Amino acid sequence: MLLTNQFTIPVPPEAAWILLTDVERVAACMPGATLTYLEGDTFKGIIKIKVGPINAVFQGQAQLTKDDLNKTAIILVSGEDTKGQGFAKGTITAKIVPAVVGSMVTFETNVMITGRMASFGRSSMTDISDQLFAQFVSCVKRDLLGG
Amino acid sequence: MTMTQGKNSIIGQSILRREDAEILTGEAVYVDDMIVDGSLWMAVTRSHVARARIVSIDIDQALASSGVIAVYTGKDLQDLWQIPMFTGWSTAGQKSPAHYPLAIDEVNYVGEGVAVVVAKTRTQAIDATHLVWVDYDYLPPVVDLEDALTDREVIHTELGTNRSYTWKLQPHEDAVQAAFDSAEEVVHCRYIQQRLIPNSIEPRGVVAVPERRGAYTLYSSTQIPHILRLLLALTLGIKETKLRVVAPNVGGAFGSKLNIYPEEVLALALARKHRKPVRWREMRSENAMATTHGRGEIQTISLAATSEGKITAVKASTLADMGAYLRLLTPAIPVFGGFLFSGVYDIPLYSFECTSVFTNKTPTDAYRGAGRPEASYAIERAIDTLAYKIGLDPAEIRRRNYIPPFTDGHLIASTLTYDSGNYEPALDKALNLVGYTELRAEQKARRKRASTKHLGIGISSYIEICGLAPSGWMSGFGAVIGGWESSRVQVQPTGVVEVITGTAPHGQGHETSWAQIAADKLNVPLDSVEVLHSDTSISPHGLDTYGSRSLAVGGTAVALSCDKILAKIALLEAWAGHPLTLAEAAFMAYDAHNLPPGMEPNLSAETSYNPPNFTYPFGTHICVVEIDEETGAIEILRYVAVDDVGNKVNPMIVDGQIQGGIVQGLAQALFEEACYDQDGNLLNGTFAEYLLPYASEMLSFELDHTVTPSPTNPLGAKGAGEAGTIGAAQAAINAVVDALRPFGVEDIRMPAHPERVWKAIQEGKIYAAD
Repeated sequence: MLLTNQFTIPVPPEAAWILLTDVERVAACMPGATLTYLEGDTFKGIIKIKVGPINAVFQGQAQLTKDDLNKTAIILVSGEDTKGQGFAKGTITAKIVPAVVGSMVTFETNVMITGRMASFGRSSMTDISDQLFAQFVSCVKRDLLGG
Repeated sequence: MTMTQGKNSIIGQSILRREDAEILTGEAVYVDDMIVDGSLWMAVTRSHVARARIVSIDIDQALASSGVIAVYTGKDLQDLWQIPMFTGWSTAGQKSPAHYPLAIDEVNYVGEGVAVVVAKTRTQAIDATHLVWVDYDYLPPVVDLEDALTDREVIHTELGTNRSYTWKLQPHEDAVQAAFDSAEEVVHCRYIQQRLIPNSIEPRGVVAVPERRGAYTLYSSTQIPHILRLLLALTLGIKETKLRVVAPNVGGAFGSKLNIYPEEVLALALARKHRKPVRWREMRSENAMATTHGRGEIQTISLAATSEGKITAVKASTLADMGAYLRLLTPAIPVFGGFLFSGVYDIPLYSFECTSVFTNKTPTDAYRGAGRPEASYAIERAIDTLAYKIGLDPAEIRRRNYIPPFTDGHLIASTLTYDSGNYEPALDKALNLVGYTELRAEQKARRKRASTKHLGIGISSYIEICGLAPSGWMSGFGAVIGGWESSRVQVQPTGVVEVITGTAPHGQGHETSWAQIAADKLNVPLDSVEVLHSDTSISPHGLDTYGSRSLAVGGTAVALSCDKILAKIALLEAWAGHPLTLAEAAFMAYDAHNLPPGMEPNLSAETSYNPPNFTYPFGTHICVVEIDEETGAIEILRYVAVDDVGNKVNPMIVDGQIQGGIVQGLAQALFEEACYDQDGNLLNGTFAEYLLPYASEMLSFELDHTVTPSPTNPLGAKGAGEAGTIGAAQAAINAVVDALRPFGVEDIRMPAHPERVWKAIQEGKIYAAD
């Protein structure tokens, strides 16, 4: 499934790029996420989320490829629920461009979701991803204003 | 040799079913009720992806799980299979990928089994299935039918194509083309037969028990115990003489238990391996993805006609969704319906073509009607479309096209010989019952005053082919089995009668009905007749129950065995020099003190009856709906069904079958659809989102009948099991479209749920405003 989310932050693209490619800080802003391994551009973690009737604990890994010039990052992600209720694999493309004030950050997620989560949680998935994203954004903004 | 139906005859009486008391009080034993000491339980790990290569399977965590005895993958067990999972039908040139009880190198649908767990309890087995970790190499799934046809992505690379076969029934193609070229009126229609999930009240279940001396008994919730025995013997290399298959009470099937399933093979194989009984019961979510699905077709149909509405030619095609693999009858279903696109009409020119493709979804197979509802839907919707185009009333256009009445054979353009038919009286009865003229007047009045509650009337004059089957016909299609049915009737020395039948009832009331037939023939009280079935050790020969065959073929076999017994009694009476009661004749044959020369002892007879033709029930259903323009909600105000099933043994049982069938047809029209996303996930495999209609959502149907006996068999019976389903869906959709004509609506997709209806109305309003 395809998910698109975007937000603006009141800093120029260069600063936004540095902030958002700091994996540890970004992970700290992901609701329910814990980073368990980080080595260069490869990282592993655990995300706890509730999708529809499914309480999932996703174990996943990601591979980050950065294009500093165009401020575009491609993240290959894959993960599975520890109880086998869901599996996800896909690509997140993050892009930062100048906005009228500050920067516009766009995330395009193309992910294949299978398992019971796909069957039972499909209808709530877009809403949940929007919700999680909103929490992520407010955390990032707080971080920015604070730090 | 016709059935007696004198005024004291119990044939034609609505005798209460002897099957029902134990079912209603909970005493009936279904597979899961069985108590089998020392059983192990089996559960299956299923693929969560629609298409992938299996890289590796890690069973360590599952093995270490509490209560687990063993875990096996497809690779572990592959040497046990003598043949791949069996397909009992071969359309010329059909391509079929080999598949096995568990996937070995690749999976091709969500729900395909990849590993099996054996544990001490069912819960332990199920829990461990989630601890089997499969490393999948994901492949892009093919989900859409028309996309599958392009072979853009080929699922089974060894076949080189997604197309399993193309089958043509085109006896006079040039003439058909000429008819269309010169026709005064032509309609072209396209319909979608959505995928359906059969939902028997009893899910599937198996108990496999090792017996003494290398024998096994398999108890299964199946509609084909005899056929299953043969197929399991072939698949596992067990001698047929060492395998007994029993279907205990079976809680509905509708074609979804007309198969050899992986779980049946696995349970038997594991019972053999572990030397202990092995059991399995399906979860409802497994039923949704691992039991076969129904329908799944895109159809086109074109009619050529005169300006008076007389149809001169029909040309139809089907693109059928096989799913990932061919199960027992998967490829047969669309072919079977391929003969019926002219319906009850006198159409001299016929053309049909079917292409069946593989997709990464659950395999399809028989589901109540199996090919015939699809055909009936197409012709009945198309004729309504033609009627509207030329301004004819839908009842009138049907009248102008019906085949005139016939009692003993009528050859139709698609090469079938219908047995007997008299179509107009059923229409007349239905129109009368529903008050057609008044309804049309009411509809006109509502439209005149711009009521927002739109009335719609839908007619469906259906026919179906059943009473499977004349065995010779079956061979023409590479069907592995014939279509005969078998019975044994034995009169015990005390004068009670045992009827042993080869049919396998799973809700149809054969015990009651066959007892009526035998009691009537042999002139004994009903309760002195016992009917035995569904156990290969008790019923030696049979081809089981499906395709509305049991009464026409199995009931006839019972009647013929009774006739043989009557003949033997006549000889005994002649020898004794005086009449004998049944008990006297039986005892005389039993003690054999004084039998006519050359006569064998015992009063029993066997028959294997090979029917000379199919049978063709028919009828007219009329559905009346009211649609709320503002919400799109549909209310069925009335549903009238006039069915002709030939002679009836038990009218109450017939009515029950019709009612159940109508509900399933209406369910397809208004409620049900199995939805997949582009990744091949089944999105609505639970009752929260797959809408089975409740009894409270269904109105009471008004049933009536005409009786046109079938010349095919001595009972004159046509069969009734699927007729309701075959007539209903298009009656409802014809009514919905009829209601929405003022908005320019010509068609609506099934299921016609309120959102679809409302959208069609809105679109119609936009066009009208232009």
